[in-house]
Amino acid sequence: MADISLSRVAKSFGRTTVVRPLDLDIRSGEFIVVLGPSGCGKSTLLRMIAGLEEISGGSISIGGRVVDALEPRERGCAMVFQNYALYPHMTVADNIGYALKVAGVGRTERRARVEAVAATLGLEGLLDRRPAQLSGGQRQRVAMGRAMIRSPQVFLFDEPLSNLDAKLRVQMRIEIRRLHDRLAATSIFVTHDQVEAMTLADRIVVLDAGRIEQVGTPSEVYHRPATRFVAGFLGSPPMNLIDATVGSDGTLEFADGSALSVPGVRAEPGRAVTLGIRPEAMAVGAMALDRPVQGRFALEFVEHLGPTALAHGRFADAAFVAQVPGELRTGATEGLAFGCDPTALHLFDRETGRRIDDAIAAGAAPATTSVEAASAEHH
Amino acid sequence: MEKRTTFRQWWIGVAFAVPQIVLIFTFFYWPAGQAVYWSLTLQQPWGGGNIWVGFDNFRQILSDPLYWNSVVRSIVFALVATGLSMGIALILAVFVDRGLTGSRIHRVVMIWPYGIAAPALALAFRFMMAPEAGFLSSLNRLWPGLWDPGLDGVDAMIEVIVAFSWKYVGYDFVFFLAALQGIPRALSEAAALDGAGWFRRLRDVQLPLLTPTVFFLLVIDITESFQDSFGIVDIMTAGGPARATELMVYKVYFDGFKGFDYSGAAAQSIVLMILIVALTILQFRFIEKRVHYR
Ligand SMILES: Nc1ncnc2c1ncn2[C@@H]1O[C@H](COP(=O)(O)OP(=O)(O)O)[C@@H](O)[C@H]1O
Ligand SMILES: [Mg+2]
Repeated sequence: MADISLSRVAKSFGRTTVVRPLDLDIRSGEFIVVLGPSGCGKSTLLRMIAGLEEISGGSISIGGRVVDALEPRERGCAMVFQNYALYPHMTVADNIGYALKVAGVGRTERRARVEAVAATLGLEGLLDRRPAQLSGGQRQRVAMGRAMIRSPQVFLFDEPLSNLDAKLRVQMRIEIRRLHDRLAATSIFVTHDQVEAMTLADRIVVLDAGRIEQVGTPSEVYHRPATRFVAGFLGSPPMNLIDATVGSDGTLEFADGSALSVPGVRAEPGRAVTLGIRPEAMAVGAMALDRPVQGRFALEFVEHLGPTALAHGRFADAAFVAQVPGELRTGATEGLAFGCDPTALHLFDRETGRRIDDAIAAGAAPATTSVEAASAEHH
Repeated sequence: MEKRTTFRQWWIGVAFAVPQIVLIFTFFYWPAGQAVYWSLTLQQPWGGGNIWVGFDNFRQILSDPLYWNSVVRSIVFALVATGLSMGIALILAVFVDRGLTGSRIHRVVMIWPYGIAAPALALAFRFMMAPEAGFLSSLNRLWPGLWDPGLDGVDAMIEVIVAFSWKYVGYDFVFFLAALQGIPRALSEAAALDGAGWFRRLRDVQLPLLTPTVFFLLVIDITESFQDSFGIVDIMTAGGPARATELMVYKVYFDGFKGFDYSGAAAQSIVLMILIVALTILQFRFIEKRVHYR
């Protein structure tokens, strides 16, 4: 049980800044996922908490104790490395039990505890093998066992699932979450995979270029992205992001002269914004007609995914994707109508990229007339 | 598709191989064959033909206590010199690996001693180790007579071992450092998180992963100590005092060219050759199996 608190923690290698001063408070027992693109500093952040990398500024405390000057072994963290980092010359049992051996635990007790951990991970028959004789999934389990055996206060995971095939990844993901719940430790899990983040996390920390973009529950991060970056990073396919200017009469105006009527838009007229709409938040075709916000986009092609399909096209001169029912085959030449609720729209300041809160009134009355995008004028 | 080059005419390939075959034949098989022949005959120093004596030469050297003296000295020399150079090289490599990751200059600097010819090196060491003027002479000023390789056999042995080790420390260091840097850093980090301090990590994780390198250097160093020691012994002690540093390779030369016992020397060189071949086979066959963890 340990809270983790980072205050103004920063890291630079020589002149290059990898992690900008950031604050983060993690509650005891929480499962935190640090999500971000490759190279954004996730591993560096994790390694600073573990004590494998010195911090260039700020302070880290674990369980109320400042650990900045402590060796990794004094911090009570266990880590699962991306490539597992199993000791190749030791058996599975010795790999898992190494921490106990170092701590001076006797042979018989060690064996008993190793066997107990192996049993929870389904490694019973493999204890005398070497890592080279294991499959990827089994190595992963051994790495987990090695982290578990000391009952650490804090679990650190550095993309532990990225070397597994898709099926195993799903299975291990569930097991990791189950283990976390049972062991009641604090977990920090680093990944670039948004599905892992959404499914595992109590809270997601979205990191970009060494900066925290947003901290929130999966639902918050998905439904109320704090920045344009978060909006574009989460979701598959990603959110449509289109530059616009707030018009004077409840509309958004686009660079190509088209406009979209948005009942209840509150941002001040003339403000440069970016409009975000999730592909899955839209209805298309006839179902779009009773939605308060309505537009039309030029359909280019349809990608079939089985139960649903993705309609790719252009809207206001930008690439545009809408999720449509699986039976949609081709588009009409005049374009495809889309519609959504005003609350499904996200506005971001174009300068700062930050979300404009309360930009659109939630309970706005549906528009009486549907003003459509100019591209649909010939309709 | 065939990956390697193939020649339409069989003789082109042979032509490429001929220079190498000629070299190996001229400088290895032919002299080795000659040595085998000599070792089975009695060579007359002033000419006059060979007399076939079968294994008499071998029987003779193997029953000669002086020969066994040189065998024992050689083994002591090989073990101590190999241990010393590998030990020092490993310590240096560990420190450099911890401190100096990235810089390549030290590798170049450290391998230079290996490039120095043994006699030149021996000459330099002879000056340094000279009891009356070298830098060890201060020892003699404090305890007169403590250091005198010219009279004391143990001192002489120490002297040649140190000179030989100095040459091979650099060589071993380069291999150890490369091997240390080849060990994934995450392994040490994992051990650090498992609670191991740096010495423990070195002992439990890094050193075991160095066993292939240790094995390789063991073969090289021991083999070289049987051969490359000649120049050092010849210049520094000439086998003395009182045969204290008469290694096998030196005795071959001494008996053959100073004592004109070609047949005995040939037999000794055959024994030395068999010893080295056997050692190499033994190490590759049996030890290698246990050092590979994959
Ligand atoms: N030891 C180092 N020296 C210099 N730059 C480094 C070092 N480690 C990481 N970096 C740089 O820091 C950035 C972030 O790295 P990392 O934390 O590994 O990213 P992530 O895990 O998010 O992919 C990268 O641009 C990487 O090149
Ligand atoms: Mg990483």
